[in-house]
Amino acid sequence: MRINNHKDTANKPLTTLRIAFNNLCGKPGRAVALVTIVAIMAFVLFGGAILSRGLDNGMRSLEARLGADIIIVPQDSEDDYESLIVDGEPTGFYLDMSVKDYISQMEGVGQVTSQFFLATLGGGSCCTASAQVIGIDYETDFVIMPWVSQLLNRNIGDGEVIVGSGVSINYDNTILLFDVLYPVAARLEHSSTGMDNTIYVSINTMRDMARDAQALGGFPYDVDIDRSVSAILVDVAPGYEINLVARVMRWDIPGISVVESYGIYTNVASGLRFITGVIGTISVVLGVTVIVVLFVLFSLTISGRKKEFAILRILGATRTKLAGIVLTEALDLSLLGAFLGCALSVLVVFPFGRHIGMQMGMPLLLPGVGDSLRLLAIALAVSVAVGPISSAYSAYKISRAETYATMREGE
Amino acid sequence: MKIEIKSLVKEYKQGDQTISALKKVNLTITSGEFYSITGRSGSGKTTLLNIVAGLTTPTSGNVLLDGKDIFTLSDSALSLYRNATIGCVMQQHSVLANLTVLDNVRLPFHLAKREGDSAKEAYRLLSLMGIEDLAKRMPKRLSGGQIKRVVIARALINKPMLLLADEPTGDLDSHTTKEIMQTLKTVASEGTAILMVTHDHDANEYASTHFSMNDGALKRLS
Repeated sequence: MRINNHKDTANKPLTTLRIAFNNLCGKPGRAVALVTIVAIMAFVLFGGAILSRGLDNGMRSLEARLGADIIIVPQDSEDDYESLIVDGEPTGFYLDMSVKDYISQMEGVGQVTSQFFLATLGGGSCCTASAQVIGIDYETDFVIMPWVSQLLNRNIGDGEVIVGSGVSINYDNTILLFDVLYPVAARLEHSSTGMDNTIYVSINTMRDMARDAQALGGFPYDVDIDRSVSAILVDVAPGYEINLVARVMRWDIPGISVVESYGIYTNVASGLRFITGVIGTISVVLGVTVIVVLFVLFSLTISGRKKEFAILRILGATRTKLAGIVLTEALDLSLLGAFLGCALSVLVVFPFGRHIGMQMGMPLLLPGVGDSLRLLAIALAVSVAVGPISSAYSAYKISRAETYATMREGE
Repeated sequence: MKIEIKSLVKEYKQGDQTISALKKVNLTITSGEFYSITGRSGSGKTTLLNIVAGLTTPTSGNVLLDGKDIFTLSDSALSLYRNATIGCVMQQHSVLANLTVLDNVRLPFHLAKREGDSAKEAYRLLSLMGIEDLAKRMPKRLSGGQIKRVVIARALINKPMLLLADEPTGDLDSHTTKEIMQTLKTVASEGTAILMVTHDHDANEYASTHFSMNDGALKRLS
């Protein structure tokens, strides 16, 4: 008798894991189909969770950046203002400065500041970037400077700029605006609001820049640069209701539109609620559908494998062992599907998140590493659990099958 | 270790009728004996083997392993009985399609979580069956005779006290039949009892004790 040298062969124990793995390899088409189903679910779960969280973060960022209770803009300019704040759409509209002086004297008005807007000439050779320039009055500002000063620890000096995260600048940290090169003092963090497309300068620099723009045909000649403001931002004094103060302003001052920041927030929030609701509904419906589909597929598959399990029983496998093989196969499939789905989701959502947010017309601020990892862990756990949950009944059924009857079925 | 079959009765209900597959069958199986049971199809031969294997329960009577009825055992104890005390060569091609020949043979060794070198013993048995060179093949690339040899090797991996063989030479040519029966005779001579059910007169000749089964009644011939 010749005994082969078996050392070169796999002498690993035939564990439940190995048997399950071999079974999956034996039916690659079935395995790929089941993995794909779980991967789709994991993709939607994780991608949906990241987008929902990103929209929520964007909403909070917008709320934090709005800063003022009431914004006064020229009549019929409120939509342009909202587009500027939410989407960063460059705009320019102007009021006489006397309106600010009048508002400062009104009852219920606390802090008042003004901003001056100027849209750069995108596409022209005069400007590095197409963006919104906002001139800030340092003496009175209470909206922008609190979070700019956190970044810079000083005011923006005359002749220098601070840029939003989405504004293109030159390699030497300068930016060309209306044929004048400005040093960039700092770049703001991504906020997923219109602020990302904004350049902040002092009001003095702003007026010089407006004159430069005027010379280049980028600013109307009929606007008195030294006597104009674009938006007047008001904080209502303690004890006064915002909507009542806003109503009095509408009555008293002609030619203006009064925007309550709560209104902008509410508009975006209702859109956000709708989108997160859709994402949540899709996730739940898909999750239930996947469980049902997997349940049916596992049931059908197990029915076709009764003889295989009967052989295992004849060889001495316990009922627990049979159930273990079925559950391990399902776990292997859902593990692979969950990792693939989540990985694909990471590759799609993170690089294209900002673009997705723009397409949705919503502020989208993707969560940080810690939060993303937490959502990833949840999505993985749910997706991985789907396989064993869907196959639990099949595992129970096959472990209770009558071996004798199964074997005789083939006779 | 001794297996005793005592007053085994198996009845099936078919509509209003009761069909007796086994009628008070008695048999004591001792080590190294080669038993063969012949009889017409439907006479109860396979039913007897399945009951001895613990795969189906009798209507009455006992299968005693060292005096203890195997049908009173827990699932894990009965599984261990199937795994270690007996080896089964079923009538059907009962190999696992997703495992190699070697892993098919090794599988019963690992189902009971034994320590040791299963591959060494598997190779010895495959060599005994003359199919050592097929160890790494998948079952779908084997002939009927080769599969039968794999199944016999697998049934012997845990050195069972009793080998149950249901038509071990069915569908095989006379040359292969002769080889397999010679192997089974060798196995019996090494101490494993064999309880074989067959239609094949040539195969029957290799047994040391002969029975016939007729309408569920077992009768010793020689």
